Amino acid sequence: MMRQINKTRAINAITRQWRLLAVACSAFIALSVNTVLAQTLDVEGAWVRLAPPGMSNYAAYMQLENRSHQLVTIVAVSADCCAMAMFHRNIKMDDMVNMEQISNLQLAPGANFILKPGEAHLMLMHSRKNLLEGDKVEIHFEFADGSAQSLVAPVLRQEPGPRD
Amino acid sequence: MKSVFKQSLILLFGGFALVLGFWMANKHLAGDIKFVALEPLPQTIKVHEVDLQNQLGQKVNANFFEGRWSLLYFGFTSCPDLCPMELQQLARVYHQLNIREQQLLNLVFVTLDPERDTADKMKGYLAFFDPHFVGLRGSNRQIDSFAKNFSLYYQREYLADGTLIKVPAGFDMPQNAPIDYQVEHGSRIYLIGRQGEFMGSFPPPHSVDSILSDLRQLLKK
Repeated sequence: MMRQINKTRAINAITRQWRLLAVACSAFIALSVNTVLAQTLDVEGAWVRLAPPGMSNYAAYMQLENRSHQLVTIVAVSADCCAMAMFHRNIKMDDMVNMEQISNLQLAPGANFILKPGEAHLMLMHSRKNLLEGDKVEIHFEFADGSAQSLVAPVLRQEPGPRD
Repeated sequence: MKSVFKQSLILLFGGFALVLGFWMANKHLAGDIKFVALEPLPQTIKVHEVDLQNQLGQKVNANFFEGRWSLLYFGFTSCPDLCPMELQQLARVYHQLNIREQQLLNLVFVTLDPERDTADKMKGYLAFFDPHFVGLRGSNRQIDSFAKNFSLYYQREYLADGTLIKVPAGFDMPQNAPIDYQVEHGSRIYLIGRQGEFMGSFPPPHSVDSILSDLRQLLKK
């Protein structure tokens, strides 16, 4: 009887160890995946320009940097606030300005892409509600290799940092 | 011989008067002001073809531009990037002026997209930047006639079955155009003087400090 109890305890202990190991492995895998997602692109200074009430289009700005050794291609972009999102750059010819959509934004290893007012922006279209100052917008990038990356950008009245 | 001499003298005098007149006109424009950002016109042009309405639906004619200086920007409210940036800069220029200077200045936004920019929409839009903004709108033909004062080029465009359709200035948008069409436009800020004359423009990119510096010199005049 005593031998039976000891055997059961030993089995339970082994099971517990396996469970712990499984949990540790899962956590490691999850962390690794997150790390990979977070490192696909370095994103800094993300913010969304507050629009006047009643407007349904917003512009988001940020600096993207590819610190990996592979070409990174953003094949899809979305935002939780809006039905559509797309990268735009302003094309200037003399004094004329026209917006041009950038499909499949590519960043070579070490390259960066700066989205800033008057030059390039992530256009967030058909918002589901009026965004207010201080709201947070979750932006989601999908890459050509099937991976993805999310970031959160605050809604601000004007560009953070020093101005002219 | 005497007649030839007389004719030459008249021609010489006429030429001198012409050069003097041109010089005086330029002197009147810029005086002794050295502008940082403003590109003054060699000769001012009286603004005409002003047959518009403000964001309250009131008629606006050429008299609106008399008695005050005006800074004008042409754009459209559906623009999420450039137009809000420019209006924010104009509002910042205005906020940095003292009350006396503010009373000498009109801040004006002219829509190039009257189909989407209703008076009500412009009212809320402009109040967001500064309640002193005057919004001007009209029919496409009226807006185009007014924009011609400044030689402003603009057009609207959209994709239909993969084909880029361009709608020139002055024309109404087709009924079947998608709601997301774009407006291609010049992004200068135009300056109108107190006699309702187009005096010059600030080319992009704009700097609040530079506009302010030029404007303060003019407001002293």
